[in-house]
Amino acid sequence: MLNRAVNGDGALAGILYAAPIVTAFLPLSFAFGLSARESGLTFLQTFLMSLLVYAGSSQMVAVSLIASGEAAWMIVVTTFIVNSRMLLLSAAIAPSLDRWKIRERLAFGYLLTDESFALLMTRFRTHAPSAEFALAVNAASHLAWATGTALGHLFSGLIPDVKPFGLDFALVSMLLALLALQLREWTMVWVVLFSGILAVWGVHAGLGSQAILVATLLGPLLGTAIEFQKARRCRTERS
Amino acid sequence: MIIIAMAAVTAPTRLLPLWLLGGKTLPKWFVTWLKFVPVAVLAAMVFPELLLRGGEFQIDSTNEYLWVGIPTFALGIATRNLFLPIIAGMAGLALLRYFSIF
Repeated sequence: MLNRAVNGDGALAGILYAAPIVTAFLPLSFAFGLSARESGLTFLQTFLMSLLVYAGSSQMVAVSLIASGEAAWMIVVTTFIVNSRMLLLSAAIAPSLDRWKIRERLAFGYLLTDESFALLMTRFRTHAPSAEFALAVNAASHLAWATGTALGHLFSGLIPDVKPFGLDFALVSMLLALLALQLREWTMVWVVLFSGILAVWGVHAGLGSQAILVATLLGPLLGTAIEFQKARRCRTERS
Repeated sequence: MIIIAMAAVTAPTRLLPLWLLGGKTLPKWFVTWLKFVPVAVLAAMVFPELLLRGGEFQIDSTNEYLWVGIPTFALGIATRNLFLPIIAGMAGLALLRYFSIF
């Protein structure tokens, strides 16, 4: 009975499946809570931001902009630019969810993150896309993010530095683990190298999150070109 | 107020494609393109974290993220597990710092 709940397509299985995200989100959001308090945000502001905006990189950037007294519209525009890659992710996962009810899709989309996206895209390759399962993954991640933020703000005096615990590496190690899980054909390796190097070059040139967005747009274009080229060569060899 | 406005601009980026694209058949080139989006976005986010520090290249022995990141990624490829490399990466970095190797 319990075994079926854990291995199945239900909410409990989804919550357990979210464990890697929860592990990475707790220290990350904790760090966000710390820096938000240092930047002078109140507990309510910090907590609401994690609850409503729920976009790690955008929140980090926004807090540093608020701290430096940037204009409100600048902060909102930057938030949008940093987060606009979600358009792509949301579009990429949409075909898997075409049997879902519209309210399930919207509830899912509101809590979609880079991490839950990558985790669920992997899951949907081998399992039917269960709404209950996916919503549970998102809800568990969101809860972890909100909890970590609250704890970070409350206990910012107790832990002056997260570095001795390696917690600052949480995001990078999670991105690497997700990337390792997603790689399954040679064309993807070329896309990874192309997008990665392009992003490094752009960030080095001071373009920041715009560089990441452009690299996310162009990398898959290279992958598509390689794949279509291969398909054409197969056709000509056969004829 | 800023927070509400931030939520108002982030929500549509996630919601609109799910709303509009659901239940439609997409052209083949677009589906192929979408297939590569996950690896592209992950690479675009992680490469700068590994190679740059404060916007400048740091490809030497003091770049702890790079030297812990490579085995972390290799562990992910080898085990096809998500949880293990995340924990091992953070623990590995903590240990190296404890023994002041970095």
